Amino acid sequence: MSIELKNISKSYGSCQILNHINLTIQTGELVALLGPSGSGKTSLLRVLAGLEYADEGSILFHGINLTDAPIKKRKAGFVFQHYALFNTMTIRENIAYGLKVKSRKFRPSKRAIHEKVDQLLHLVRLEPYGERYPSQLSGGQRQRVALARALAIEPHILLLDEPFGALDAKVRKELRQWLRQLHRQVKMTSLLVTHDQEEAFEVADRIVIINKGQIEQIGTPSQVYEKPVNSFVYDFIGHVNRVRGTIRDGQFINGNFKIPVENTGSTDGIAFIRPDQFSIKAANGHAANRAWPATITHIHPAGSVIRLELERQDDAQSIEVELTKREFSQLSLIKSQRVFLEPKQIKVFAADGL
Amino acid sequence: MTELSLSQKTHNFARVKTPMKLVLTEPKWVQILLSLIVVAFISLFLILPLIYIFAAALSSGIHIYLNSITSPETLSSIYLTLTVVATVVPLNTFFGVLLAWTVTKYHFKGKSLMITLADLPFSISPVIGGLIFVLLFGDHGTLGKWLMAHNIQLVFNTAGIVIASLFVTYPFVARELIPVMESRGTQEEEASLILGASTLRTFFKVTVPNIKWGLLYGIILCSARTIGDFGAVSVISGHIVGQTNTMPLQVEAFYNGYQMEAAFALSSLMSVVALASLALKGYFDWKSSRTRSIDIK
Repeated sequence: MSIELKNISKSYGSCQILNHINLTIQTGELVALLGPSGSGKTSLLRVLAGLEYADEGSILFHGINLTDAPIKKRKAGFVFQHYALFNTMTIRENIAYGLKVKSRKFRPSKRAIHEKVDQLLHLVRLEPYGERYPSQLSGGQRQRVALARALAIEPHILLLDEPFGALDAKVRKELRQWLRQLHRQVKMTSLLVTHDQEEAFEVADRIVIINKGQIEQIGTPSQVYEKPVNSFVYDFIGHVNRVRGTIRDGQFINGNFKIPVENTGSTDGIAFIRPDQFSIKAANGHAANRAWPATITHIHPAGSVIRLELERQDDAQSIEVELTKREFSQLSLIKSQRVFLEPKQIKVFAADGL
Repeated sequence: MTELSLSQKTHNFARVKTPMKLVLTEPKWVQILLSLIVVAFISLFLILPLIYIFAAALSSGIHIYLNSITSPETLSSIYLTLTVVATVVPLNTFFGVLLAWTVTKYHFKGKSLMITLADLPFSISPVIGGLIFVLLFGDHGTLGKWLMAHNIQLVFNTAGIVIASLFVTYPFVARELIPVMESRGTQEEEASLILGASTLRTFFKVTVPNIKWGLLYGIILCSARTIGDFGAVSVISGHIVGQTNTMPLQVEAFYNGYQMEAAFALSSLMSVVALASLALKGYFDWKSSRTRSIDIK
C-alpha cells in the first residue's frame, strides 16, 4: 500500500506546524521522518493516522483519497512512544482488542482470534507473557506488545511515533535491529518518526529530514549523510565542526585559511567539516593557507575510533577530530602536542539564516 | 584520586544530614504534647459527639429507638431522601463525567474558566443555592410565572429538592475525575480509536476501567452530600412534614418539636450512612493507589 501526501499544511493559530509537505512512500518501504523536536514530524504522523486533520492538501492511500476519512477507514497501525497499552487488560486482550471491536460481519471467530494472537505473540517473541498485564512487563516488552497490537488488524500502513524514545540505550539498539528484521519479514509500508539520527540511519530505507514543518531533504541514508543539501541537514546529521568565515571572490576565508568555493557572492559563510575528514600532521608540511595550527587538549581513546579535541592556536576555537586506531598509533600523538589540521573535505554554505 | 573524591562525598553527605535531623526531630516531650493535643481535639469534637448521638438515641431503650425510626414522619423522610439520591446521583454522575471528559480530552477556549465555575457550589453557601432556585422558579420570578402558567411546580416539592441538590453536589464527581483523567492523557483512547473501536466502546472499555475508583469515590461523596445537605434543601423544600422533609430537615423538625429521641435516632441512622461512606472512600482510595503503584512499577 503506497502513501502519497500532497501539499499538506497545518497550523495551530498563527503557528505553522506543517508547511506544504509532499511525500510519497512506496509499498513495503520503511521511511524515517527525522527532525528536531517541534519540527512537525509527529503532527504529520497524526494527520496520516486521522487523529488530526490537515488544513490543506490531500492524503492518498494507494491512489484512494482518504484526506477526510475517519480514523477507522484508514486501517493504520499506530505505535506510540509511551506504548499506550490498555492497562486493565492482559497482553492477550490488548493484542486481540482490534479484532474484537470489529463489527459482527467482519469479526473473526473466537478461535481465529485466539490463533491470531498466538501468532503475534510468537512474532514479537512474548509467548509466555500472554496472561500478564502491561505493568508486569519491561519497557521493551511493552513496546513489542504495542507493535503486535497494531499489527493484529492487518493495517495498510504502520505508523511509529518515536517508538523507542522511552527505552534505555541497550534495549533501543536491540529493538531497532529487531524492527528492521520484522520489516523484512512482513514488508509493511511503514513510517517511523524519530529525532535520533542513528535510529533513522540504521532502520530506514529512506530518510526524510524535516525542520520547521518543511521537508529539507529526502534520500537514502547514504545520500543524506554524504550529500546534505543545505546547512541545516549538514548540521543536523552526524557530528560536524562549524567554522565561521567570509565568502569573497570565490573563496572561503577564515584567518589565513583560504579555500575556493562555488559561491561567487560576497557574504558571511560557514564551513562544515566532519570530524573524520581531517588529516593531521605533526609538522607543517601543508601550505600555510590550507591548514590550522592547533593544540591537542583531549584524547578519548575509547571505542573503535580515537576522538581528539583540539584548540586552534589562531582563534582558540575547539575542533573535534576522529582518527582510526591505526592512524592514531602511526602519528603517536600525545596531549598538549602542537599539530596542523588540514580538512580533507569541506562544505561551505552562505550563513544567511544561521 | 577516585577514592579521595568518594570519601569527600560521604563527608559532605554526613554534614548535610545532621542539621536536617535536628530540624525534623523535636524533643520527645514536644512530640508527645503535640500528639496529645491532636488526640484530645479529635476525641472532643469528632468521636465524643458521634458516641453521644448513639447513646442518646438508645437512651430510652431499643424499643423506643425502633419506634422512632419507624414513625411515619421518619419513614417518609427516609423515603424522600432515597428518592432524591436515586435521581440526583445518576444525573450528576453523568454530567460530572461529561464535564471531566470535555475539559480533559478537548482543547477549547475558556476551559479553565469552566473548571473554576464548576466549583461554584463548593464556595457558595448552600442556602444561597436554594434561594436562587426559589427566586428563579417561585411565583415571584419571571420564569416562575411562566412555569405557573403552564402548571409546572418546581419549588416546595420533590422536584425543587432534586434541583437544589443537583446544584449543591454537582462538583463532586468531576472534581474526582479531572485529575485522574488529566494524568492519564488521551493516548489509550487514541490507540483504541485507531484499532477501530467506536467512541462509545472506547469510553466503556478503555476510559471507564481506568477511572473506575475515582468515579466510585466521586459517587460516594456525591451521595453522602445529597443525603446530608441541609441549607439548599431547607430553603426550597418549604418544610412540609411528611411531604418535603428530607432526613436532615426531619431531624430539625423533631428537635424543634422537643422529640429528642426521634431526632437522635434519625441522626444515628445518618451517622451510620456517613461512616459507611467514609469506609468505602477509604477502600476506594486504597484500591486506586494500589493500581497506580502497579502502573508505576
